[in-house]
Amino acid sequence: MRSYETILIVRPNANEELIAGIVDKITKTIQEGQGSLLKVDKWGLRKLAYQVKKEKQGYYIYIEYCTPPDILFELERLLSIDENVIKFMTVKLEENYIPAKEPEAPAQPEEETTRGNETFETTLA
Amino acid sequence: MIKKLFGRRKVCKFCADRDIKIDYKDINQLRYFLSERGKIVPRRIYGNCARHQREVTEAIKRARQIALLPYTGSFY
Repeated sequence: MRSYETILIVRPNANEELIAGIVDKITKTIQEGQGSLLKVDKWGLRKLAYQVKKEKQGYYIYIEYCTPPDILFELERLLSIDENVIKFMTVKLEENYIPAKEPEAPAQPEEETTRGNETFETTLA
Repeated sequence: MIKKLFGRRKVCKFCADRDIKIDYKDINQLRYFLSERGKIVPRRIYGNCARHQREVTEAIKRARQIALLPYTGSFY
């Protein structure tokens, strides 16, 4: 199984329920495929650097998980169908990726702690 | 001659400090390598080594894909 991370952008007018629903759907898909979810991080509403589907803001969700490749395709298919997900991107993490320990404080101020352990496989997909 | 006037050798920031990880999610760090218009600054300016400049560009391009950084124009 490989580790991946996905960032998805949800429409800014989405309510909490909808966001929880999307996260739920992802979790289910991963677990059904014998994958494991490593981390879910809601970055919240952010300004987009450019307009995406006429939206200037977006709700960012960041997830880390291990899954077999075919489940990943299924997951991406689901995301591309979802009307509320305006953009997403998946990056393969390096082979022996160890999930960063839960940061002691919420991720906002001490971003360094979460970032420290991350390394990326830099080969072009 | 110009070289003699500005003789200070630039050292790659990432080679000097190995602890700095290049991460496409860390836009504040990447922003340093962008011009005001959102272009990637050539490595002769900050003296990055080839490898690290490549990693920086890759990270910037990733960040652009997911709308963290702009393709053109200034950022907010």
